[in-house]
Formats: sequence, structure tokens, C-alpha cells
Amino acid sequence: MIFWRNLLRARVRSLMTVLGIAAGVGLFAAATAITADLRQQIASAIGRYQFDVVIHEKRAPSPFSSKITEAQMATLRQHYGAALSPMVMGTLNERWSAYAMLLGVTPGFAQRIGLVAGRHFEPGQNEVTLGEIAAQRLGLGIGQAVEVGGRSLRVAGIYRTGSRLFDGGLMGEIGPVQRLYAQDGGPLSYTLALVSTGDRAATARIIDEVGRDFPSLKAIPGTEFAGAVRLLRVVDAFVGTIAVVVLLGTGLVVVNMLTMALAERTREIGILMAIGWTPWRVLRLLAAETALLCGVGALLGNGFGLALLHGVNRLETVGFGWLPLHLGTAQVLTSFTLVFGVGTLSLAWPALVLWRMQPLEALRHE
Amino acid sequence: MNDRPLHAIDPLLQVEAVSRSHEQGRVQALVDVSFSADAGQTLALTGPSGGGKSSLLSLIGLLDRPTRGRVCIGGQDLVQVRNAAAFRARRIGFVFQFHHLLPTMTLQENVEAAMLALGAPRARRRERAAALLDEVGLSARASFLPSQVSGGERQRAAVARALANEPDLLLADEPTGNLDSHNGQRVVELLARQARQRGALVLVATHNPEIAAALDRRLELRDGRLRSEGSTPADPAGE
Repeated sequence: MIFWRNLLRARVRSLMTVLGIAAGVGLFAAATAITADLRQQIASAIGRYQFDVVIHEKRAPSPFSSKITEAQMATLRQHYGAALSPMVMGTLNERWSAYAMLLGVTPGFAQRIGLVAGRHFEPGQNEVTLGEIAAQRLGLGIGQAVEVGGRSLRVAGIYRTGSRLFDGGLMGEIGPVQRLYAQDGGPLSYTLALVSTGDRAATARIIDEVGRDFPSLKAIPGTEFAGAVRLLRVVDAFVGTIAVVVLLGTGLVVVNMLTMALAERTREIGILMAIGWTPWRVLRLLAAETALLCGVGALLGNGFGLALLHGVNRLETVGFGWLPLHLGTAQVLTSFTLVFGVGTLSLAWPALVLWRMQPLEALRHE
Repeated sequence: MNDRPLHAIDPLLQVEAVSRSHEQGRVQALVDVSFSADAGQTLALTGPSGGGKSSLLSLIGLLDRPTRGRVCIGGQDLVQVRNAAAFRARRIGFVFQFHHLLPTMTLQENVEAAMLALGAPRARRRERAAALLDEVGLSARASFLPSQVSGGERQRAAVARALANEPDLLLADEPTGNLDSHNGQRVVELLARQARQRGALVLVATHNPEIAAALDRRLELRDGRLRSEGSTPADPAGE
């Protein structure tokens, strides 16, 4: 393992290079894990409950901040009847969580959600059902009280959707939740209207109808909902920026390492060339060293990213439940590909130096 | 490139009116040097420091190019050699003054490194390197790093590396300059044995008159010019 011994010869530099790569990869892996997981959670929640069409306010920056008026919802109900489920969705800053997700749903909608304990909330009884993760984190059980919007509500049951985003929140009767979200006694509104159609033709027809009959509303297929969430687009842009920073940072630390190695080992390279090594063979030795550093850096970086997710998940200020606690295979593979790709590109500079290097001059190098 | 041994081609080495200048002609490292040598000979390049010994070895070893004149090995003009690295690996073995072993490679790996240049298979490299290290009395030190062995042992390992690809020419630049007389003598004997056994041409640049006397011929270089050429006293033909 000659390349391993070469790296150990400059221990501090090798360590710094690995840590530099790991820091960037960790940030990248954590950010991509969050955005991919959020997208998957939202998509799976919409898909699980078979909502084929999601209707939201057209000008809303994100479907989560959409406002559908009572009048619009009444008209939509007339059109689509029992197939339509209104929903109110948002976050509240409560003592027990800075981002407490509260869903307001109809009793009929609530029946679709699977329970792990208790029963669904009863309308008019000041009750809520609590997500499984929220129940675990708050240590609450059936019959206990949870404070929401200054009111004490009884936990009637504990639900599980399979999506951590929603299982970290709670669900209550739509009317009271509407009033909680209405600011300063303003008009009541809904966030989304979800429609189950059962077939593609009906889905396309409803999308057309909403576009035609409700100029301020927009209907999208349920499968496209995750992509329409602005938060995810923002996170995507953030992840893209991080990826660029990771690429540049990794490139810089690797090029720095290689430049130093070339400068320090010029005479050794001259010896190798004198005994018949071609620049290409010398480059292969440097490539092996680079690959080892990149591999260890990417590996450590993914571990760092995982630790970052676990650490941030413990912070009360970010809420709970919605952060993933694992890295997907795709994220791990992408991070390795990026790092190895940049490592390979970084070899361009030493390749140029080696091809120009004269063995005699290299042998005389002090 | 022709892979056949060049032993049968006489002269194996031909240096014809070779000059080498630096700094746009202001420094003359070699001036109009001519000589030839056959396979199986041992030549001493003597003369003061700066006389041109190392420059001449660099030209013969394809590490540098002459400003004028030509160097031929086995009848091939070195200017015509397209792949200098492959030519060096196959035809020429170098022994440097300060051994120049790679510090992060064991002695075994240092010897193998020369064979790696020709893409020799791993098993063949291992076997050959082990045999060569045994030949130079270093089989017990094969797994040691250069920093873990003595100066004499390093230089013997360097000789083993130079022999790895069975070169036609062995070029040694002050190979004993850093060694005591006993180790110096041992290294020269190793080189001379190669000339005798394998028909290699051995050129040794040296300040040491005893080393020069132990070789077949002596070429003296002063100020880049060949001042004298002749057989050493040990060679009856030169007397």
C-alpha cells in the first residue's frame, strides 16, 4: 500500500483534506436527505389516502399557505359532493413545539386515518387526535390534555399516517382549527380541497373545470403536489447551492493536497521517471492517493451528515418528527459520485505538471 | 521498439561529437565528446566535479538531449527514440550517488517499481525482485524501508533496482561517493559482475581512483572535454 504510506507521510495534511471533504459532504448529505424525505413524505401521504386532485389558491406562494374562501369551498362542495374533503393545515408556535403542525379535517376525512390507540376526535367535544411521533415526544396518552392555541384539548386517540411530517402533529375538527388560524377574527378559510376521483379521465376533467370556473384557484394532480410545495423548491435550491460549494470546496482541498504533494515529491517523481515510469503511471499513483482521501472523506461525511440530522432533530426550535434520521442510498451514492468526480477533475492540474516535467530537472529539484 | 538484447551490436554505445550547453551557450557542460564502448565493458568516467561526468551520463541515459552531436545505443540514435520512458526502463539502469530509493517503498517495492514501468506481472516482479535482493545480499531486508537500512544496503538495493529489467547499459553516478571503502568496493564488484555475466555495458562516474582502477577503461572529463581515454593499468591491452 504505497499510496497509503505516502498519505501517512503528511498525516496532518491528509487529515485536513479528509475533514474538508467530510464537512462538505456531511452538509450536502443532510440537506439532500431532508428535501428528498420531505418530498417523499408529502407524496406518500397524498397517495396513501387516494386524493387524485389537490385544489389550492392559485396565487399562494405554496399550497400550504393557500386560502380558499368559505364561498369557494361551498361551490366546490356543490360540484364534487362527498368526493371532496376540505382541509385546514398550518403550524402554531406552542410551548411544546415551535412548529406544531395542526390539521383541521372533517370527521369523514379523519376516518381514513389509521389509529394506533383510542378513537377519532368527536366534533364539539374539544378533542384532538395526536400523531404517533408527537405522542411519543410529548409523552401524552389517551385522555390527557394538550394545549393548542391557548385551549386545553383532550387527546382522544393516536394516529399514524406513516409520514413523519404529519405524525409529528395533531388533528382536530375543521371548524375550531379554522378559527385558530383566522387572524384577529378575520374571515375563515380553508387551506386545501382534496378530491378523490378514482380515474384519470375524471381527474383531468376536474382540473379543467377548476381552471375554468375558479379563476383564483388551481387544481393539480395529487402526484404533482410535492413538486408544487414552494418550501421544497427553496430547499432544492439550497441543496443545489450546497452541492456547488461542496464541489468547489472538495476541488480546492484536493488540488491543494496534490499541489503540495507534487512540490514535495518532485525529486521522487524524477527518480520514478528516470527508471522508466511514464507521467501516466505517476498520475495513477497520485490518483490512488486522491481516491483514498475522497473515499474516506465521503464516508466520514455521510456519517457526519447522519449525526447532523440526529443532532438537529433534538433541537426543540425545529419542531420534531419531520426530519429524517437516515440517509437514502441515492444520497450516499450521489455524495460519493460528486466527491470522486471532483477528485478526478482535480487530477487535471497534476497531470499537466507531470506531462511537462523533465526527469533531469525533477531529479535536481531541491 | 526492438526488444532484443543489444549485446551483439558493436559498439553498443557510440558518442559522436556530443556537446551540451546551457543558458543559451554561456555554460558548456560538454564539448565535442566522442567515444564508443562495447557490451560487457566497464568504463570509469573520472575528472573533477563540474567536469561533465553527470551531464554525459544524463545524455546517455536519455534524461537530457545533446545540443550537438549524437548518442547511439545499439546503433539507434537516441534523438529518434519516441518513448524515452520505455527505452530507459528497458535498456538503461541507473544507480545514483544518494541511492534515490523511494522512501515510502520497501526495498522489495523499490526494485519492483522498475519492473512496474514495463508492466511486468506481479508474480514475476516479486520473484525477480526477491532474487535480485538475494544476489546483492539483502533478502533479509526486503521488507524494510530505506530509512531502516544502512547507506551501503541502500546503495546495493539501488543496484538491484537498476538491474531489475536486465538493462543493456548500467549508468552509475558516483555510486560509492557516500559509502565507506568496503561498501564502495562491494557495489563496484556487483556492477562489474553484471558486465561480465550479462554482457551489460557499465559506466561509472567516480572521483575514486581505486574504483576507476578496478574497471576496464577510464575516460577523463575536464571542463566538459574528454582529456584522456585509455585502459586502466589492470587491463593489459591498455598498457
